[in-house]
Amino acid sequence: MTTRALIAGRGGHGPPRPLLLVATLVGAAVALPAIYLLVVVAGDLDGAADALWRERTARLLGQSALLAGAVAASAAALAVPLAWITVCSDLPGRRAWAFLVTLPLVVPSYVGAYVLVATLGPRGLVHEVLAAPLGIERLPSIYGFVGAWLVLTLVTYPLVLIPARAALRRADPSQLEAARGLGAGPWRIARTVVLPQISPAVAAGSLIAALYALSDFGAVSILRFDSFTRVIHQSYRASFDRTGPAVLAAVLILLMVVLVALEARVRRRGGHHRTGPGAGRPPAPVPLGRWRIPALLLCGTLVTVALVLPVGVLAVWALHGTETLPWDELRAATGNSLLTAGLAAVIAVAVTAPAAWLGARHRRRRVVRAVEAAHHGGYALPHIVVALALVYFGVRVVPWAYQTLGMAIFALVLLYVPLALGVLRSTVLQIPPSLEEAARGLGRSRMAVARTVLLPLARPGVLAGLALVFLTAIKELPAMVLLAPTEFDTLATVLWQQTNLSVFERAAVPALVLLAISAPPLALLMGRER
Amino acid sequence: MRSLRSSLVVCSLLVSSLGLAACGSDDEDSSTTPSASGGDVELTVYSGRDEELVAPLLDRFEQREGIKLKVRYGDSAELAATIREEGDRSPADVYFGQDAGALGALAKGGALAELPAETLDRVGPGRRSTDGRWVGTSGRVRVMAYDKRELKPSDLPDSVFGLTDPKWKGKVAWAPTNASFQAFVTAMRKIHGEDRTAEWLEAMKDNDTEAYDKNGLIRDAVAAGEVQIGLINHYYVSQKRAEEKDPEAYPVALHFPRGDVGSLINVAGGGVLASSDHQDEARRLIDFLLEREAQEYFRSETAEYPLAAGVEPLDSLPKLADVPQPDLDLSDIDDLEGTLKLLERTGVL
Amino acid sequence: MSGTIDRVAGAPDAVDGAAPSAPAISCVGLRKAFDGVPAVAGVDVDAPDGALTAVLGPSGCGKTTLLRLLAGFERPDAGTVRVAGRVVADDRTFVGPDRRRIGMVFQDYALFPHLDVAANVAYGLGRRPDRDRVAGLLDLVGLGDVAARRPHELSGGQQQRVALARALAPRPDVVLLDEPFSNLDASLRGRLRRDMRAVLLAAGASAVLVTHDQDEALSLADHVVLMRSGTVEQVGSPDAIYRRPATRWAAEFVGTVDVLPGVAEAGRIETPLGTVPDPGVHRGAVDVALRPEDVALTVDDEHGDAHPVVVVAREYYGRDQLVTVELPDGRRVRHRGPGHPTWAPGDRGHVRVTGPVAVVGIGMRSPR
Repeated sequence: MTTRALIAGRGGHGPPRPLLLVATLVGAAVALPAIYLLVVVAGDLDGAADALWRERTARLLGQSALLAGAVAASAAALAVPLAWITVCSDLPGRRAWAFLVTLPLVVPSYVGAYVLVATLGPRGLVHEVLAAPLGIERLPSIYGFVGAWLVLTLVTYPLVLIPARAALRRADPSQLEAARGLGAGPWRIARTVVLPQISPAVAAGSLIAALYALSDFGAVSILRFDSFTRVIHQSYRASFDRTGPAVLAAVLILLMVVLVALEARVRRRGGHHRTGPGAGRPPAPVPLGRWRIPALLLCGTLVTVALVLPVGVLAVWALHGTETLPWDELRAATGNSLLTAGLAAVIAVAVTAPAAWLGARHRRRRVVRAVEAAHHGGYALPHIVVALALVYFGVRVVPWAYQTLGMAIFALVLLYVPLALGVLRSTVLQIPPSLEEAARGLGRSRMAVARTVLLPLARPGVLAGLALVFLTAIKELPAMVLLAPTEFDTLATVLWQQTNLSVFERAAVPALVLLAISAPPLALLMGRER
Repeated sequence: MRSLRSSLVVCSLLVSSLGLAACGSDDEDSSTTPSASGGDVELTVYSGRDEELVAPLLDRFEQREGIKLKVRYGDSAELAATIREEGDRSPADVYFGQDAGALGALAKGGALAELPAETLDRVGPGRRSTDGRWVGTSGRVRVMAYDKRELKPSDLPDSVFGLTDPKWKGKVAWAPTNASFQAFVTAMRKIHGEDRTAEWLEAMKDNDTEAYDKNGLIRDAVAAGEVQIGLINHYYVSQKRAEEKDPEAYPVALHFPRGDVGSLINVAGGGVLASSDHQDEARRLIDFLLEREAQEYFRSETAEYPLAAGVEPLDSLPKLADVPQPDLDLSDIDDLEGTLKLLERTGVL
Repeated sequence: MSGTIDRVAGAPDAVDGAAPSAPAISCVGLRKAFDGVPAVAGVDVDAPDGALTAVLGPSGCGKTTLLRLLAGFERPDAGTVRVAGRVVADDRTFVGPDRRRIGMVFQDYALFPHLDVAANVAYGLGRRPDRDRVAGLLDLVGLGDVAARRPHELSGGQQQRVALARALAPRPDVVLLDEPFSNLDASLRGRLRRDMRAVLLAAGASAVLVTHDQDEALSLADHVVLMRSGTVEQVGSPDAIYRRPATRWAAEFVGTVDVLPGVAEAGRIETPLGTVPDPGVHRGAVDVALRPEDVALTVDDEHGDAHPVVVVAREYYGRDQLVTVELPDGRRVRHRGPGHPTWAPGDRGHVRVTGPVAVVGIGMRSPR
């Protein structure tokens, strides 16, 4: 066996060098926080060992892994049927439902947590209205694991839903039709045909949901669940010690590596290209029959719990707001939020494209897998760690860019590259490689093929990626607080300042504005579905 | 058609955000480049205190002194951590923090410059660092906030040690992650020793004391009847009370325990960064915060205890001299590390 | 017999330089392995200019890899590929698929789903495609009236013709076709084969077709390359491949064959079915391949040189039938003949060899 054969692997001649180079550079940039953690830990090895071998570290690892796993599983369990109902079935108004069930994506986890406390808390709405009249002294506690799991599931399931829907819309309708022709009911079709077709997208989305749960601070802190992130924040707050939180963050990275590996396993099972010749035929809706009512109930309940309830509670708070609002400030913050999230979305999608293509076309190669894994760099990390890493590098390596808008956007891109990666890669996976080869054989360069074949075919995935990054980045807090230009307020920082004062009534308005401006891009992006 | 529409989506996203934010960002980008020394000095302030609370005060300083301020608002500890990462390249000139712990850590790390004696002398001993690197600008007192619908003042224990009584089981809230609480525990260790403190922590924990993340959440929990007593800083209640239409109807009242460390006074304060190129102007800001105007502002707007210029606290609060104080220097309660280890060991954290 | 000289694997006669008569494609010592498993293990083969060459072989024989090496989608581990005399791949050179002047028709056709039929055909013609050229090609493949449709609105046969027109559009030196008929109904294939042959002829294009279907290879190609396990088993005209298989495997893979032991001596071979003329010059024990259509089955021994047999099985195809008979020594051979008369198992009859035989093994074993 020649050396070249060893290197080349199954994908024929190796991945194009320039593409690999770009992807490696992006991966290295995204891995900066991990490098920072190494620097910190290496600077204080004794302290690090001390922090690592504490009983608490093991306990936190277990708890965080449990939360991440539970959130990923429940998010997928919600998202898969929702995706199928809103793409393939004859549900009345399925496009409107699709929009509504995706909308909880724009609810920040801390808002969701406040709302949960306000409704199911010991003296919350439910207690006042239902339990107290029935003489129930105390409701089961929503604090701890159950509350955090519930809130994180409700704000992360759209992270699975969006890629799952994109995958379904690109899936081969002939397989669905074949299954229907064989007399399979909706459930059997879902299990035997739909799931295998969308499993890479669902796996990628679940990974993102799990990583989100690992890095989340808002929900776990309000609902008092001891996760890594909460403890890391506490250490930063309380001790000014870099090593302790750095060690915990490094353990979190290990956990992330495990999750990324698990996802890659799911993805490696089976191919995902459409099988028949031709492509892009719109599928005929599958009649739900007697499942119509349960399907409507599922959608309706979710929209009520994850959307109507938070918005309603916020609206009530907003009406109670005693102070007149600083509208000018709010308008500037809205513009800033749009700017940062918009730029972050476009850049994140653009720089992730090489790794997404490589991950889809050359996934058997180790170097590609390593580069891909690096793209998940900081996603599982508490954003405070990522922000401090960028403070460290920014001030030393690019002092001229420190605390500029560019730096803040770089941070957002770095944080949300994994969102774009998952969606783009599963999109490329569904485009048969023979289309690219056909175009190459017809005399077009790689760039021309990307522009004339890949881009048009990947459009649903590209738009889904843009939407995901935009809608998530617009909620970002620590990176903006620490890295944006001084006195540069976004809706999220305004919101944070208000909640910090524990004046939820005043936080309600910026929160509602945040939800309101997130809705049109989502509607616009989803409106272009056929 | 389809490609046109989707390009429109992307373009409109980009253009609208660029356009909208141009007004918000352009004029602020210059903040990173150090301003030219001379007439137009600009100070960069890292403020762990909330914009809502201190921005009007800082605006007043700009007007009066003709020194422009760039203020980066954030969490006290996060900003202190940021200064630590920035090292001597920090763009900050002044650090204005919420608690003595963050100030002490910055001073220990060598990030703060020594302040002149006349500045330090404006506040009493114990309200400033012993090495003269930071000074307290306002005080906050650890109190028991209680539900006055359920409890009379006479029902309340005179010391936090009384809260371990089984009759308080599940009825008390604390915030173990909160810096003020941790400072309180550090003080307790200084006064009563490691063992007694550990005993208290464990007893509190066994008594089902409810843990919250923030003082404000504890106050609201008391107001909502979730718990009856909360260990918090006084002004959370004072501020909220002042906002109510009928302050007397607000269900949460303050109790200043007389014994032990019950009513420890902590401070918010400021310091000048050693790396600052504008030492004089930065000190003027610190001095300003200790003048009568600023001290009166702290009293009326944030309901904190003024520390200088002879300003008295709000009428609803006991005078500073009447707040029973443990015999303790604030500069001595800097062993957060030890407190954290104890909190972890006892399973409170 | 004809004067064609058959080339067997291992006898390259590639010509250097771009002479007018250079083969459309020529490869020498071509090798490619995946994860250490060889797919193409030293292939030397030419595809003559202006002709249709079929690469025939069973699944997994490496024929698709060979095609992808020719197209430039894979980089060879060793060996040289020339297109119209120009080196496109060797130790130092690797010309990408976009600059090889090769058209390709994929098994799944790989039509661009986001482009209409005309745009698919025009894709290889650059940014300002010649509309007349596109229209001419669509007429050539008989699809002038569906130019504005999307691929998913076409039938399989129409899609295949779009793929062919698209491949021909940039006037490639050679067109490669990867199992182009495998996705089509059997009933459609015959007509489409003729159509495609006509289109290729009209376009004057050289073509290489990869297929596992011997009927396709024999009926369509001017030239057949028979592949087995990554190597070339035999090269020749369809007639030569069928009539004169070089090996027992080649004989058994292409068409139906019975192999009988024989002894060659002075231009004749003694077999269990009598003495037949030696197609070559052999001596001693040989294996003789016998096509069923060269075996006559009659009720009576009309010429006095037939062997008595008993019918043991019959497969009926309408236009013909395949009858398996058993000789007195238990050896079985097959006869293919007209669908009439009707033979049934147990019938008695006589067989004799009426056509030429091929020698597919020498001295492997003694007769009987």
